[in-house]
Formats: sequence, C-alpha cells, structure tokens
Amino acid sequence: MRDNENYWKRLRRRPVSRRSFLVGSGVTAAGAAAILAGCGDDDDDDDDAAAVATEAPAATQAAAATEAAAATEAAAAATEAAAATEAAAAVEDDSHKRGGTLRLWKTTEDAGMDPGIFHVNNTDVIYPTMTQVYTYQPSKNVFSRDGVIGWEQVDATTLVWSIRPGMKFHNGDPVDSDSMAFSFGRLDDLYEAHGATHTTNTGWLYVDNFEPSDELTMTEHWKVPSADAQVYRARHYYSFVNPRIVDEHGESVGTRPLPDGSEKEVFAIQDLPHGSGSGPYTLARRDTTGTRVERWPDYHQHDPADDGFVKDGPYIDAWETRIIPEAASRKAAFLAGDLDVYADVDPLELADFEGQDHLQVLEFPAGGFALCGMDGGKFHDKRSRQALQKAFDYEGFIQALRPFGGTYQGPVSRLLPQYALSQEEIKSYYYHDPQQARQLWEAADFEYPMDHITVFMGAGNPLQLQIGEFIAQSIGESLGIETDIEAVDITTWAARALERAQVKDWELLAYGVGTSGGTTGLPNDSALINFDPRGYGNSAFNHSLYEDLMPRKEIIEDGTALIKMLEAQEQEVDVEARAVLLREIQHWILDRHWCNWSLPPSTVSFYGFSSRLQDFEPNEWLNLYDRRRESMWLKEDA
Amino acid sequence: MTGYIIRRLIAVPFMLIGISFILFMLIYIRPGSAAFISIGSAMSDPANIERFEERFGLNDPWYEQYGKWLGNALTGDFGVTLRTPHQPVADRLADHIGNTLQIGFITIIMAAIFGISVGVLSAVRRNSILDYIFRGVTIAGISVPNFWVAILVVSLPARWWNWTPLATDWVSFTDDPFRNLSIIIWPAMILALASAAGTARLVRTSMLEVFYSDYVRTARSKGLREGRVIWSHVFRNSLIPVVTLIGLQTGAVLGGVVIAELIFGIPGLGTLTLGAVIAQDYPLVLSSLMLFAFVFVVVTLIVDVLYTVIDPRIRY
Repeated sequence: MRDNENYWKRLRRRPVSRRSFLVGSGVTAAGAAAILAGCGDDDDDDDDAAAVATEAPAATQAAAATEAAAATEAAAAATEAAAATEAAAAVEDDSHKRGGTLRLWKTTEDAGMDPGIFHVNNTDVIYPTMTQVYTYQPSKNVFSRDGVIGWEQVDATTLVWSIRPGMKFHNGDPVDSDSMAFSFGRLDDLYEAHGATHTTNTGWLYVDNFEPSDELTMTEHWKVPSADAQVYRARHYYSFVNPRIVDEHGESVGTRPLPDGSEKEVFAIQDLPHGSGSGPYTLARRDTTGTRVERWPDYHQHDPADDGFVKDGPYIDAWETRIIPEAASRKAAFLAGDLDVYADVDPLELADFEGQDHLQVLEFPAGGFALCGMDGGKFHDKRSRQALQKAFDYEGFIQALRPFGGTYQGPVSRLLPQYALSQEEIKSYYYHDPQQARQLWEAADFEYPMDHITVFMGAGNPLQLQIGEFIAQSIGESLGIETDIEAVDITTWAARALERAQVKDWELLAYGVGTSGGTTGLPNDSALINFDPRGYGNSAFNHSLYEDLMPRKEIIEDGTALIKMLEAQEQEVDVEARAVLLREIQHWILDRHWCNWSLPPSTVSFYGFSSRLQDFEPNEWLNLYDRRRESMWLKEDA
Repeated sequence: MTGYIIRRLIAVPFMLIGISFILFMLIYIRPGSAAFISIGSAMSDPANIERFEERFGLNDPWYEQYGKWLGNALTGDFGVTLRTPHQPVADRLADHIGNTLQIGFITIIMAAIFGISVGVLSAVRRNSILDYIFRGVTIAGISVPNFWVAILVVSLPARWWNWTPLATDWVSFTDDPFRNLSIIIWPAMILALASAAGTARLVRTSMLEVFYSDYVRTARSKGLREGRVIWSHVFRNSLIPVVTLIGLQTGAVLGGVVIAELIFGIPGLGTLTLGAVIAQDYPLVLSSLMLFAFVFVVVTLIVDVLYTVIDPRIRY
C-alpha cells in the first residue's frame, strides 16, 4: 500500500501537457457519452438491454465498454469530437513531432519472422510492419481500432469484424475479409503442421471457423464462448498476412491431416517477403546487426484516429533495433544515449542512472511472478508439497531480496484486482512454520528416497541465482535436509524442465524473479498457466493427465477436475461470475499446494526510457503485446 | 623442409576429423534439443518435436548423425541451420567470418608490435624506471581478464561522458573503412593488451638471456655499434620463443574475440557461435568451431615453418 501511494503521488506530480489534457478530455468525454448512452438504452428498451446483457458475451468489462462506445451513436459522436479536438491540436503543432529513428535493442537474431509462428526477438519487426485488428491497452482497458473500424459480438459464439476500407498490403494487394480469415485460420494449420503457433490447443479449442461474410466483413464462429478472445485478438500473431505472398513465397513447414484422410501442406513466411504486411513500416534491413523498418508512404489513414494512432500515420520515420547480447553493454548504450528503450532496471542499480537528463527511469507497480515448482513425480503426496511451502521463509525472503518491499501473490496477479485474492487470503496458505513443515515432511509418503533437494534454475539473471540460493537455504534449514542449487544456461534449463519423464532430474524448479511490471490483462498470463495441467502443470511439473508419466491416480483426478474449472472460467464472460470462478480455482490450487508456490514478488518495478521519447504510454510498453503506438514521437532537443 | 610441410599438410585433415569428433560428442551429450528453440513453443505437442527431430535427423544414433555431417562436410556441404529460416551454414559463416578475422588480425599485429617494442625497450633499459613501469604494466595486462577490461571500457565512458565505444552503429569495412576501424580498434586493443603483455615479458627475458651470451660479447668486442649488436645478434636470436608464443596466442585471441564481439556488439563468428550454442544448432556450432580449429592448425603450421627462417640451424 505504501508503494502504491508513492506511485500515485509520483503520478500526480507529473506535469500534464496540453496534448495529454486534450486526449484525456476526449477519452473522458467518450466514456461519459458511452455511460449516458448505456443508461439511455436501458430506459428505452429494457428487454433488449437485458437480452444484450445475457447473449452478448462482450467477453470482458473492458470489451463491453469499448464496444458500447463504438456501437452507439453518442459514443461515436463523442469519439469523433475527441478525435476532432485532437486533430485540431495535431494540425496546430504536428510537424515538430514527425521524423527521427526509434532505437531499440534485442539480445540475438530472430529465428523467423512469420507472425503466426512463435518466436522471440521478432516483434520489433512484426508490430510495425503488420496491421492488427486493434491495439489493447490493459492499463486503461482501451481497444484502439487499427485494421478494423468496428466489431460486434452478435451472440455468445459469433463475433463479426468490420474491416477498415482502403487498406492495402505493401505490394498493392487489397486487405479484405479473405485475407483476414486466412490470417486467423492459418494459426491452427501452423499448430497442427509445425506445432509452433502462439495459440496452443488450449487457446484454440473454442474456435470453430472464420468466415468471410462480404468483402469487408469477417465472421468468427466459436464452439463455446470465450472470455479472453477479444484481448487475444490484439496480439501480433493475429496480424493480417497477405495470402498471395504466403502462396508464392512460403516455405513448407509440414502437413496437417484433414478429416477426409488427405493432408494439407502448410506454408510459413519466415523471411517476411515484401508485400506480406500492410503496416505503417516496411522491412528495410534484417541482418546480423539487427533490423530496421522504415516508413511506408502509402499507409492507409486512420480517420478518426483512436488513442495511440495518428490520422496520417506514425510520427517516427524508422525503427532501428540493434543486437546487443551483453547486459553491461546494453546498459552502457542506454547511458550513452544510444537507446530509447532500455528494460527493467535492477533496483540495486538505480543510482547508476541518477543525474542523467537524457534518460528517465520510471516506477511502476510490479506485476511479474516468481515461482517455485515441484516435481509431481516425486511430490505426489500433498503433505510433501505442503511441507515445502511451510518450510519457506516468506518474510525473510522479502527482507533479503525485495529492497523496495514485497507482497504476497496467488496464481492470479494482484494487478488484476477483480480476480486476485487478498493478501490475507494468500497469507492463510503461505506462511513459514518450520515445525509444522517437519511434521508434514515426516508424515508424507515418498515413492523415491528424499534425502536431498536440488533447486534447479536458469543462470542468466543474478537475481534468479539469489532466489534459488534463498529457497535452498530456507528449506534446508527448516526441514533439516541437504539442499543445493544447480544453475544452467537457459536452453538447457528449459529442456530439462520440460523433459517428458516420470520423475525429473531436479526436485524444485525456480523461475521468474518477480520484478517485472505491467500486465496483459489476462489471468492466464500472470501465473495461472504454470498451474494448468494443459500447460506447464503437465509439461514441467508432472501434475500430469497421462498415465505413462503420472501413475498416481489422485494427481490425474485432480488435474482433470482443475481443467474443468479452468475451462468454465475461460467461457464465463460475465466479469463478476468469472471472478467467483477464478477465486475458487485459486483456493483449490492453494489448498492442494498444486504444482508451484508463489514467492513474494517485488511491489515496484523500474523501467528506463530516453527523455526524448514522448507519448509512448509507459504502462503499455511493459506489456509485450502492445508496442506499436503510432503517436509516439521523438523530442530531438531532449 | 618440403617433405615436412607435406607431412604436416597430410596430417591436418586427420587432426580436424579428430577435433570434429570430440566437438560433436560434447554437443551430443548436452541435454535438450534444438527443436525447443526452432519450434518455439515449449508446450508444443511432443509429436511435433519428434517430427522436427526426424526431419533433421536429430533422433538418429550419434554415429549416424556424425557420419552424415562429416560425409557432407568433406564435400563442402555443412548443412543448414536448425533455426528457422534454415539457411546454409556456409552462408552464415561467410557472413560473419570477415569481421572476426579482421579483429583477430589487427589484434595479433598490435600485440606483436607493442609486445616486441616494449620487451626490447625493457630489456635494453633494464632496471631503469621505464623498465619498472613496463614490467608493472605487463604484469597487470596478463593478470586482468580481457572481458573485465572490455566491460570497463564500454561502461565507464558511458557513465562519465555519455559515450561508449559500442558498435551501436555498426558498418562493414567495405561500406565505411574508417568508421569500421574506429569500432574494431577497441576490442582489438583490449585483446592485444594481454597478448602484448605476454609477448613483452618473453621478449625481455629472452633478450636478457642472449645479452650475456658469448657471441654477443664477441660482437661487442669486435667494435660493433650497440644498435647493430641488439638488432642483429640479440633480437634475432631471442625471437624463436617469441614466434612460438605469438603463434600460440592466436588460439587465445580467437577465444577472446568471441567474448569481445559479444561485449562490443560486433556481428562476428563469436556472436554467431554463441547464439548457435544457446539454440543448440549443432551443425552451425560444429562448423563454426571447426573453422576456429582450422585457423589455429594453419597458424601453428606457419609458425613451425617460420622457425627455419629465423634460425637456419633448425631442420625438420
């Protein structure tokens, strides 16, 4: 709480620019109009309103609010008014914002550029060169329209998109409903043929098909409702991809079996040939030094432009991303003024950035997680998992490793307060009691001798090593058992963590340092997926559904029950009802000490940006999936 | 002499095959799979992982994998990278080797020039203040790790003067030679520091040994000028161990280049190899390391031949 107060005090001290004031006024006006419109609708037609409330999943509150704004005339008028006000301001002093090169970094080359295939280190190209349906700002719960001008949740399982007219791919091909349906539909093809799409089976099971209704209308049909679908659609893997380019230049990545017994060959565009995308920039360079994207002069207009977009396209001319593998070198480049966006700053290094006018280090509430996973092959007895959690010294951990304070966290991040458990609730499960821990440990059933515990972790982050050492020391002292740590490179770590085996070659898996900020707005992204038997709960922690890996019937039964609960909350579109389900799931997980336990994350996080970068919405930069703000600009004299 | 060179050249392929086998086994016994990186999704269906491994022969027995790689390599085909897009390994190596050789070459030249100069001056002015300073500097140069010096060189100017010699605006030699050299010179200087320090100490010791030998005393007694004595009699006869050392330092320099490229952000074989190691891209790792091994074997051969030039008494 103390830290939140500090954060908001700092926020209040921030000077408010005229632009910010105008944008804020516009958004407020739009919101007020939407509320008024909603009230008016209730007054005029209660039955219809009730039907809409029942039928339209409008998955989240945010989506509902945004849709309401987009759907009603009053909201549209208000939005237009806000846009007009903004446009007026833009006409007034727009020119000084145009130009410049945004300087970014990444650690290594990308492994491919196809937006449908999961790879790290390629979003610096995908976001600026591709068009998505909209961007989503979780901190404000705002959807800003990009490739669509509207959408309507017709019923619980039907979502209709209205595509922005006049859009073209970089080679001149039109962007239409066929290309949109192709772009979304190929994700499943890629998954089946190559196993590499961002959307895993768990994120896809609700989809039935994508149907082009007319030239600029595309309809999604789902098998069951989905609470998170609309937020997911804002992500870069739902980019519009040119079907002709995939057909002509794609590389075969495998085949997928079809129901009639035949096979369909699936193609990817890992080189991102010219004409693949329709975004504001085109790929100008991609080599061993990094990437560069440059403005595409024929980019379509956003009129009116939602928050984050500019009617005539982005202000910044180019994005240059340099490959800088070494952390000390990145820091030096940032201090030297060669980078516009740094990364999360280690709180212990804050002093290094003081007195540097050309850069700014901002403070945010931390949203990241730090977890300690348990191998279900060894800790199949609930008492053994409970003993480990009681053996861990939570308050000591906060004092030792959280210099700016720590907090308790359940499976869902505290940055999603509507779904998160209270501190008191979490503390009723997570508390240090060495005596109880020993009793539980001695009473527990172990199929394998348990006289030694290895805490296994990746070696890339010094804080991760400190966390691992603390876990080993705390549990060793509490349980009177020999412990050690093993730190390996991140690839080996991932391979050994995910290796399919009845028992792992480690006992505890430490991962996540709990100092990063931001939230994507989705419960699954906070930590829940690490408990999910369809996700890491199965692959990493042997809390498995498969009898060949997990002979213990009780684990399989619990896993099956948890999946049903998870599916129910994913399909629950009412926020309050979903919150109830999510809270039940969290209590279920904590009561069974399932898979992992959460180590207290930091209450604050720090991120570095150059002083010349303006209107970049720092909160959204922390969210991996929204980094294409076209209204960003570079103040050259900063 | 010709027979010796031919024998050595014949031995080179066998040495390289031996090295490749050891490297392959080291890569092979490492846990994990390139499929995790290439497919990209940690939660991918195991069937997809298996499909990937089958496509690239990663689930074949080790002797088949190695035999296939070796057979292809002998025909000049080093395969394709396991990371997408699957580019020919030879193309990737060709893209990167120029920068690494450039740094290595400049490093060795600088190390030789500074090492020999400092060593000669230190020996000639033995026990002077200059000698003490040089000895102190060379001990420091040998003792301090390269990577630590590199991090200081990158970090401290950034903190003090908001400037860093990092290659954040990298250009190739062909595009802008002067700009390229202004970037390359920093890692080359740092790598040269340790090499030059070692060379300087050996030159000093060797020269001091020769200084008091009978033939030097004879040369002086014949009335030769001191400069002539030093260069024609002392320096040349003290060069044999120095040439050996410089040859051996090539290996250390190649290893150092990997770290230097990483810290200075230079796109060379070092950064390529490190990325390939992390991605478990074994065709690329193996081929890249074999390239390092090949360079080292060739340099060693050249050093052996140079002995006969420096000291005509040496016969093979």
